[in-house]
Amino acid sequence: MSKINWDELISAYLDGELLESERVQVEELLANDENARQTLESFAAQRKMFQQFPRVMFSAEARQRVLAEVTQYAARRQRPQSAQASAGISDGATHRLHSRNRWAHINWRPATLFAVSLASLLMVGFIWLRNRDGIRDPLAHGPHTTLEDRSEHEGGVRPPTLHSRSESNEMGRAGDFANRDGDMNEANMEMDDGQPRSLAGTDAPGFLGRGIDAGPGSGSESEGGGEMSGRGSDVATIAQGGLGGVGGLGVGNQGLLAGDRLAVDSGQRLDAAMHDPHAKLGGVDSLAWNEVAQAEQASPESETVSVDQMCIVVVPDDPEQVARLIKMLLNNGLSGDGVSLDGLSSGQVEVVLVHASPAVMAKKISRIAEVTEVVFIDTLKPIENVAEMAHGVVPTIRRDAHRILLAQVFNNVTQGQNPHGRFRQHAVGGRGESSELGAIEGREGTISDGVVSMGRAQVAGKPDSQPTHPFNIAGEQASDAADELDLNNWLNSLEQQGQSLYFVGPGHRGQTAEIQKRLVFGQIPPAEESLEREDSARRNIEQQADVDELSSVPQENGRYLILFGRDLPLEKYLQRQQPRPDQPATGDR
Amino acid sequence: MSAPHDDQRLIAETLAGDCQAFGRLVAKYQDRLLGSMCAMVRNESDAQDIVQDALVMAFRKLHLFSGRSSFYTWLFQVARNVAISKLRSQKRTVSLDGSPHDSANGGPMTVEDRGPSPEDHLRREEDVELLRAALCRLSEEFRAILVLREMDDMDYEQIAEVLEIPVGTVRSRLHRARAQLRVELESLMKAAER
Repeated sequence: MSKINWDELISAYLDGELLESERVQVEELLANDENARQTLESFAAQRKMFQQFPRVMFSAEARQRVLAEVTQYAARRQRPQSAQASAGISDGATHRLHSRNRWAHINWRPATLFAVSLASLLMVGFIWLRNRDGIRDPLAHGPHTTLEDRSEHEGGVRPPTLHSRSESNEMGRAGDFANRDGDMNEANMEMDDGQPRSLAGTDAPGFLGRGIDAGPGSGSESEGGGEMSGRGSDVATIAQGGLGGVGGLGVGNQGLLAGDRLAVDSGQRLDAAMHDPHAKLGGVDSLAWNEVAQAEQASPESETVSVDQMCIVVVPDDPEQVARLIKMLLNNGLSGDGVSLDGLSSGQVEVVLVHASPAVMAKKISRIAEVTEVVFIDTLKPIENVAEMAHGVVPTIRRDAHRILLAQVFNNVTQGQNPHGRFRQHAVGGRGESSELGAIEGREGTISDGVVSMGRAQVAGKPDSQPTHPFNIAGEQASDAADELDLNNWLNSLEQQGQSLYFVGPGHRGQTAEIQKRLVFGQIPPAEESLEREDSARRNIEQQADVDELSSVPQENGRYLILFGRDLPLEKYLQRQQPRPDQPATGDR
Repeated sequence: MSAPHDDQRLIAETLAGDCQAFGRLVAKYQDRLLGSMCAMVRNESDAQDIVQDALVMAFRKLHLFSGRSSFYTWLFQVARNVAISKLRSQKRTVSLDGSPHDSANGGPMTVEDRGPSPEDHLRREEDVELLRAALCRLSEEFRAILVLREMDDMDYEQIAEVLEIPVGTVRSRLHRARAQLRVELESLMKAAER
């Protein structure tokens, strides 16, 4: 067992959290090892310091303010209570929302309940139909067909097609992923199906990831343009919800992320779950992780299934803050030389979603030369916390919460002066795996032996070819109503002014954590140590250079950085590097 | 760990419209929460604000409290989110490295006089400031887990509940937090000696 694990045991020993066998081991170690004793003493000394922390008292004044505010709030609540009760929406959320935007009156809860009920009915009916029809492939003949048709019709992403029986069997596995919180029997039925089907159904779960954090050369990436830029993906998402994610559709985390189980990630090898069967990140359960890990292990060189991007949902907790950042970016002239990212021409108005390593991020950041602050916007919390995070912005957890918030952001940026909206999105991959979402023309996917392999994204280099997707703050399909955001027109107007708009964000938790550490918390660990934490596949000379570059990014008076990602940092990597606690110690301390 | 019976009763009464019941909940947990938040942010003034906001937020969101965890566990989660938001909104993410004694932001916290000698008192204040400065250098997640363990005296299971991570992760993260804190403390002590 390595030293660090012994230290971990010592740490847990201090807390009285060891198993008896571990405790005996540690006590033996402490009896014989001076370093171990020193470690224990240092941890104990920390505890003592904590105990010396000042006892503080909540001031009577503050307490009075709290009570006054809650009393006032309760009084306000009394007035519209009957109306609210019938609407079925929380007063807190309602109040906040009314103060923020005019679409807030929409009552999500009944809508969600209705959706859940409807989807459940659909699922029951669907299962019945499948049984009756001899397990007809729902993805090939069901709503998914609509996705394919519409997506292609609109010039969107062409879903790859599976070819073999084994592929379709794996597709069943995909269904398993997607249906984790839905109907497992349903998933099994798909596994037994053996019929060829389109992978688009598989990618449909990548709804959240696709929209915002499309990764480099990934399936979710290929869908990213679709999600934000075409109605097709929405249809797919609905289909997915009907097929599997129903169980959690209205209840938060699991359901929300169930729809995101199968994304495809080209670069990141998160096989940590093999070492942590209890891993549960963002609603992705350990089984999913294990399956992903096995898939990745089976074919490390190909683009394989990863849960990494499934968890990406952009829920900034403060849209106004994001808006302010964007304003600053715009006001600081992010156009012209030096702001061209990954081949997007300067001066072209784009929303750029970057999925890149910290190293690549550093390069990008270094190109944003004029802004003055680094702000980390954590967009991924366990979904149960989303409502809290958003402080009432999101009244009910919705699949398209990120979109609603993005719309709010843009609305804030434009101060409501863009009454009609279309939104154009591009994503830029990192480390040579760039893909501009709108330009991806689709690719073939194969699934065999537990591995979902995707061909490399074909980047046509024509970002303008992607479709646009109208939406409004409510996340509903846009109409011509005046309350829609015309983001596209807004972007075009910016373009005419020679301005560009960039969203910059890594989609990988390790990357995010690195940047968070380095830029936000001002803590720059030695590059060598940092690299030790990196996935070995990403450890190379180029990255070293890039990390050095990242380290050189000023932490004060630096640059704006809008990060879309999650802040569950290097946990998985670290765990992978450590033996399981139940593995016997080898005494290599 | 579910909410104690009296908490459950107070919560039920609050939800039934009795603000005084919530006042009793506040009284019960306000100081504990403030103590934790003081370790999470750089000064007491911010911590007071956070606790205040968190309590109001908790009132508003009380209907979302399921009762499966203790009320304090849930309250801490709310406060932590508020703290994170506040840190971001104040754009102090970089300045966390700065001195915790920022008179412009509430001034230094005072250590309650527990009756030791002036030397002990001074040493303790120095230790506290050292610890606070070191904590400021840690990531928020490291700070949070240390606060939950060392200040709130939560066991690993409770911490796992608050942070929504597996217990195994609590153990590894806590260890790494302590290791990092040790590094930071040593670094600060060396700097102070120069």
